[in-house]
Amino acid sequence: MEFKSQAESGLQLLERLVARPIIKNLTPLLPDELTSETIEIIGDASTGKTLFLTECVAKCITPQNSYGLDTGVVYIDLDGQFNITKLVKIIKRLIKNADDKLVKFCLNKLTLINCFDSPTLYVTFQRLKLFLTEQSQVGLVILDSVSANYWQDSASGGEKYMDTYVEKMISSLKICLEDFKVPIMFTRQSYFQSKQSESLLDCVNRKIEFQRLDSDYYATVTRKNLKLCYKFNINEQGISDFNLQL
Amino acid sequence: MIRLNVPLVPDENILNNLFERNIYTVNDFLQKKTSNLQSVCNLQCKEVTKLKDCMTVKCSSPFVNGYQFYLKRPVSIFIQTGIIKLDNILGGGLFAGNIYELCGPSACGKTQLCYSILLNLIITTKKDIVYIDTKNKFSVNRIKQMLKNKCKTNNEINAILSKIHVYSILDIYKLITCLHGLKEKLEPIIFIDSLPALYLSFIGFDKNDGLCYINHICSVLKYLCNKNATIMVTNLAVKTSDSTNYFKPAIGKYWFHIPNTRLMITTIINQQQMCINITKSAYAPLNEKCILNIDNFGVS
Repeated sequence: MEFKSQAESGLQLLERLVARPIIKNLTPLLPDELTSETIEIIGDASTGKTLFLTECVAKCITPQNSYGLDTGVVYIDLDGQFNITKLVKIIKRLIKNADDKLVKFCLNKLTLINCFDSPTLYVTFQRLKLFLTEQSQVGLVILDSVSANYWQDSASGGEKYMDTYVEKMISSLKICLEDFKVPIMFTRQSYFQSKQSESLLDCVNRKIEFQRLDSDYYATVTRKNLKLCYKFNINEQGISDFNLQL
Repeated sequence: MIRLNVPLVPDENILNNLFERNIYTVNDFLQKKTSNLQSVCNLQCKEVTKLKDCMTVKCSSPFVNGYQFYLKRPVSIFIQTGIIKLDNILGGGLFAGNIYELCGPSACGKTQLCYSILLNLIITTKKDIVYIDTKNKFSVNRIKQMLKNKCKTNNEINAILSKIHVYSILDIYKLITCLHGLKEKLEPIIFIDSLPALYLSFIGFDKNDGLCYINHICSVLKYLCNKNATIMVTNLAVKTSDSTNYFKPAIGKYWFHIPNTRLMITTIINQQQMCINITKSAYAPLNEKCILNIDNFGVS
């Protein structure tokens, strides 16, 4: 008989015992459980990527009695496109008659990080590890725009191939967060690809591609070999319903 | 790259030992294994871990709570440009903390629009404005003409002119220095006229270093926006490679995604008018148009 003993580190034990909230039914595009998954959001400018992320954040931080998920979110903003006023608008849409106290309660679950260069970003990933150890109610990590510092990095001797650059950055984030089962969502611009391919990157489990044709918006969710296309509209209040296109 | 120095590292000896092993920056230190660092630093494992944690917290970006971030947004939500039709399509005016881009073909009136907005901002908010002029084209005479037509006295004109800080910048390196210098100002309003003038000298070569500098400039601009600056950048619009009359912004795909709001300007031929169209925005509805007139009084 062979016995296999598996040792786990203190961090893994803590993670196993602590009840970290699980993200489920975040949006009609991602209806199932998202534990430890990496989701890539890719699209051109003005196709609704940051708005989609804002809607996800709003859904996470609203309390459960308003059909929210009541989890903390860490939003790493490298692009400067995140608009807190828009987030508050969406929260007020999700919770009828939200007063200031309730908005404050929701916003306290969001942590924002603004980074302006890559070395600081890598140190911030390390700090994120410490942060998630302390804060067990954080359930989602969002990185807006992997391509923000690419030109500076490649000119100072970094990675030149765009796909490899993305893989490196996401892998280092995943390594920092590997003991936690937190899903990661990140955005990428459409032009930021070494080769135009339909397949997913190695580090990515799912890909959502946003496109816009005049005033119609489309989101295509790709998972392994399965592709689903949804149509939606953007108005003053945010994103309207997603309609599955067959 | 944060270089290791004495406040981060407990004492000089440890610092010298680290330098001898080619560990110069915080990133290098954090990537080495704790067990290897024990012998280098002459410290216990627990102390090395504590040192690493301390460095991580000190050198990372600040983690801001959502509610604190919401409270820090500027009290006056938007600044009116003074041009009523433009304010209407922008949802009230210019929002602080955003980068606006005015994009249009040559000689369509971008600089005139900048002057008009500039003067209206000074007259209504009495704030100082930073105007970065990259083509040495800033015309005090035109500003004086516009102010005289608004019936301002000489004293008033002088007071208004003293609030415009013009930086004449002719290469991209000076722009980077200038923007870093603006970091100390409190909520500045910055006009950059025009950005492609500095970048065009880089294109056409195999090794395009220009994008690296544009990336750096955008990082500083985003930093300034985080501190609630309002930035307006002028850009050229160039014809796309097919023969249609469709214009796209210059500087390239990287810059295309940077501004929060893009206003495309087209001239209406034979009339001194310009048509402004919102083609990218986080909050204003897209494809809203308005038509403005250019005359001696400025743009209205």
